[in-house]
Amino acid sequence: MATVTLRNIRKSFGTTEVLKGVSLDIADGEFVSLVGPSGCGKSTLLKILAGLEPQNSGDVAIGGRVVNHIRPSRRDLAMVFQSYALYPHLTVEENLMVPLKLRRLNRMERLPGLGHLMPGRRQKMHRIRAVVEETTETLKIGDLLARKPGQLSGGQRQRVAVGRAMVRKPVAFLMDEPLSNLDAALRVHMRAEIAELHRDLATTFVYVTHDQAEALTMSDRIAVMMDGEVLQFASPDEVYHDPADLRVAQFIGSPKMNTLPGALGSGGAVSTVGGYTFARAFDGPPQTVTVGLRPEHLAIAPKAPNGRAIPVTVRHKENLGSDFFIHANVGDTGHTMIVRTEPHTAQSLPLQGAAEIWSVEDRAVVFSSDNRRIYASDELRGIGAADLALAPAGAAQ
Amino acid sequence: MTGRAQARTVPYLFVAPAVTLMVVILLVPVAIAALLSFTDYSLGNADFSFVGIDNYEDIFSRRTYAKMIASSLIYVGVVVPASIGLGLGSALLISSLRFAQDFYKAVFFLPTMAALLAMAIVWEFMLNPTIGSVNALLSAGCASPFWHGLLSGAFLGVDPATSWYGNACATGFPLWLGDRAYALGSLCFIGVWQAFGFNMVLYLAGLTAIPRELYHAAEMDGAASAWDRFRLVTWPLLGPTTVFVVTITTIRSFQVFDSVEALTAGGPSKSTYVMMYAIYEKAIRQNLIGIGAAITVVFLIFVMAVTLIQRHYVEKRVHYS
Amino acid sequence: MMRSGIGETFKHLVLLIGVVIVIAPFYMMVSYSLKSPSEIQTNSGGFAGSQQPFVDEYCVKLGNPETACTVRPAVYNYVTAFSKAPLLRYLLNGVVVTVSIFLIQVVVALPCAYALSKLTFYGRDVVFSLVLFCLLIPVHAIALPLYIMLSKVGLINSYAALIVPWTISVFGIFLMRQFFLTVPDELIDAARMDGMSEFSIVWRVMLPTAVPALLAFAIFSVVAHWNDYFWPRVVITGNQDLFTPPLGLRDFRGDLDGNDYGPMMAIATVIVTPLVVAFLIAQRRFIEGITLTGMK
Repeated sequence: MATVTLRNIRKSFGTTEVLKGVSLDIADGEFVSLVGPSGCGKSTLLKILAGLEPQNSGDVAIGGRVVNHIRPSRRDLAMVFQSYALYPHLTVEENLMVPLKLRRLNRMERLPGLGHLMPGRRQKMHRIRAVVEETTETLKIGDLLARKPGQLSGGQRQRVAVGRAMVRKPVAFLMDEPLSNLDAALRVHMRAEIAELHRDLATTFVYVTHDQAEALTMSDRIAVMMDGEVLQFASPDEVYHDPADLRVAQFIGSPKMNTLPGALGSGGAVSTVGGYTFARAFDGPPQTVTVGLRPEHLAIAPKAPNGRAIPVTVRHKENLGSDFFIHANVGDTGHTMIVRTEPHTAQSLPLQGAAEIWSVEDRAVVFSSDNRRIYASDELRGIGAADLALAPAGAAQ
Repeated sequence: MTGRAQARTVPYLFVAPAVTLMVVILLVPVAIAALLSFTDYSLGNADFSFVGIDNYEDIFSRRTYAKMIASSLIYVGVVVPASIGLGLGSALLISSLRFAQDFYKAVFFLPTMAALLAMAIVWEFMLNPTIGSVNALLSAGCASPFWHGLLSGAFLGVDPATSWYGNACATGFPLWLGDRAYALGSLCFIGVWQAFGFNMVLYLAGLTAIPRELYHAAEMDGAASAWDRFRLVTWPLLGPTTVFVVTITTIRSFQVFDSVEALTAGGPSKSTYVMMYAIYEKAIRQNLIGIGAAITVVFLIFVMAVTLIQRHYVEKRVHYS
Repeated sequence: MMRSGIGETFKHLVLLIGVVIVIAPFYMMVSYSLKSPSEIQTNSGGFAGSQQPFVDEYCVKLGNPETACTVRPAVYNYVTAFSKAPLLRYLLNGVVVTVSIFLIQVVVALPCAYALSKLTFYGRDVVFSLVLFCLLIPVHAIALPLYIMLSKVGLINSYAALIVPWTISVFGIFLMRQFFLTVPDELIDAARMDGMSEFSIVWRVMLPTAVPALLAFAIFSVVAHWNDYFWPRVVITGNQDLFTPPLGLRDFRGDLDGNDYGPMMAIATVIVTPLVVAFLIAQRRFIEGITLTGMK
């Protein structure tokens, strides 16, 4: 168990800089996700942490010890790979024994054939088998031991890969998109299992994914990465409700957050395309802004109750059973919005019919043209702001 | 012809030429060889008689044929491991290079493209004891203290007179193809020279098929040395390639003919009398069809056994997924 | 960083030794083909020789004046190669034989491979088993019975003898079948809907889709038969007009006199050059083609 610290990591492949000075402090026992679109540098960062890829500059420290020049095998980390990377010629049991054999048996004892004659090997092998057995029981893969990876299903392989990482009780687990090769149903199931495993082991997990849902459901903290930078490193709630950057707001959440161009006027009044003006004041000089509105923080009706609304045309109604997502065009501005609503409201909205959208309690996140957040005057900033976001947003209405 | 009747006959029309040719060109000859191997048939003679297993008895009892089997097996036994070892070695070296990979690949593959007969004749020239460049180079080394010291082992404290090179410097270099002790070895060398590039290319293809993540996994699992990673990942994952390379090299080595026919004609004193050459000399040159057919049958059994063993391996042991 | 630099240098060093040994005979072949007889005998003159004109004594013996018989070595070697031996004829034979073999192989193999992969008919498994069994039989190994059969029908010393045994490429059938298995059935169904006959499906639908595989197979086949020496040696006995390039070279070497080492190397160079040059131009394709056998 250990803390993991990345300090100002830079990495270039040729002339392209894939990591532009990334720093992260991961606490002991924490489950941290690195999330971002493909090509954002998250997998490279994980490989640098593992030692499989050298950084151009910056420090990697594990448990307070700088490990920049230490081989991957000596960093005491375990990794679960996207392809699982199980040894195809070895049985499940042999796969699980590999890390233990390589560490506990010496060179002579590992020799094929001859190694069996070495004194002490039997005892060591006995202990190794015991550890493997313990792991297979935890993961419920005891009946697969004699099979080869080629004979396993995707989910089974995934479990074996986790098992191989577990057997030697590393100080931290690294996982590189371990669920991306599974089908949707299994992925949801394995999400729960990995989260449970993390609670049981109480070890540091660093988990790379491009799937924001995975990051939100499993992590203690999420590092949202884009273009080789960490845009925000915070709890799932904070990243969702209080995004520090427009790109974070757009990446996290499904369906995506609605964004409308708007203007911040003097006196902090914000208005958007479609003529909606927020009742709250925002802190900032007059400028053009982008206004972010989550689908669940919007309401839609044929007629807005208090007149303050964006007039739209209903284009499509997406029925999810419990909810509807209404897709609507904002006049003929070319902007579309998605609103979550109750089934009975949706039924009252005819397709191609006119409707009005308004912001419930004026909950919006506003960003300047350089993607930076502009806070409302009554909002707490940064850490802790999430708590407020969860509560009703004061006397705005 | 109605459409339906046509649909039923078309497949047979399509396979008919191939099947006919397979039977006439491949199966019938095997049967003929098997049949003739029990006779004393010769071309141009109308009558022949069955001689039972005499021909086979000859193969396994006469000195000439014992030498034939021995030289074939020695040739295969040297060329297969050497060309595979060199092929794997160069593939591993080349794949780990940062640049010039394609250059080495192209150069080592060149001998596979060139007619073996032509290149064997060039080698014969180079191995020529009087005007050949090999012996010229070797004896030039004798005059240089550095090369003499290195090659004779004098640098290691060995008495130059007891080493092969030191001795050869004093008494002259071998005649290579003309010397009973060196002829087969020289042919093996030419065989390895020609074959290893082909094996290298197959191994390179095998190496690129190994997922990078497996090496990363091995690193994480504690395989710190290159040897550990080779043992854990490279060698086992090259298993299918190795089985194939061994098979094809073995079959090709059994069939060696060009260099033997052109350079040694089986000699000196039958030291390079390999099976294909024996078939050619006995049956086609001397019209001793019976014994030639028997050698053909033995040869086919060798080759088929090797292929069947390969198929067994492919299906059983090295089939991972 | 430092350590890997030294390692890299060492690897290059080892590989370069290999390069020297692999290249040596090619270097010598071309070098000898440029040198005069005396330079060859004394192993002097560097790579290209001095190109000092010398007197061709054979030419003088024929009663020509010495001035007419004074030639540059490189010119002498290559001119002799094409005049003393009918090298052009050999090359032509080589082309005729390799091209015929390849074309017939395709004509025979393609419909069979199509039937085995895309048509269902009674006995298909038997035919495929036959293919798998025949893969075990190398044609060189059954040269003797083939030779007897050909001489019984009087075909020894003919183009037919050079070509017929190779018309069936079991490997080609196997390869094409494997390739056709990856072609979606919908493509064939669509062609049938368009009213194509099975015959035109083979040649107008399957053949174009199989071009990459066919190209690789073509290289495989052409290289094998251009370079083949054993089979021509068996079935062509003395009729120089039918000699393939390797056979021609062997024949020339058979009655060698001291002056002819240069021309012999010139012949060898001419025979080896086409494939080597083609290989250097299209390396990737050639390696693909030659290692095709690895797909089994």
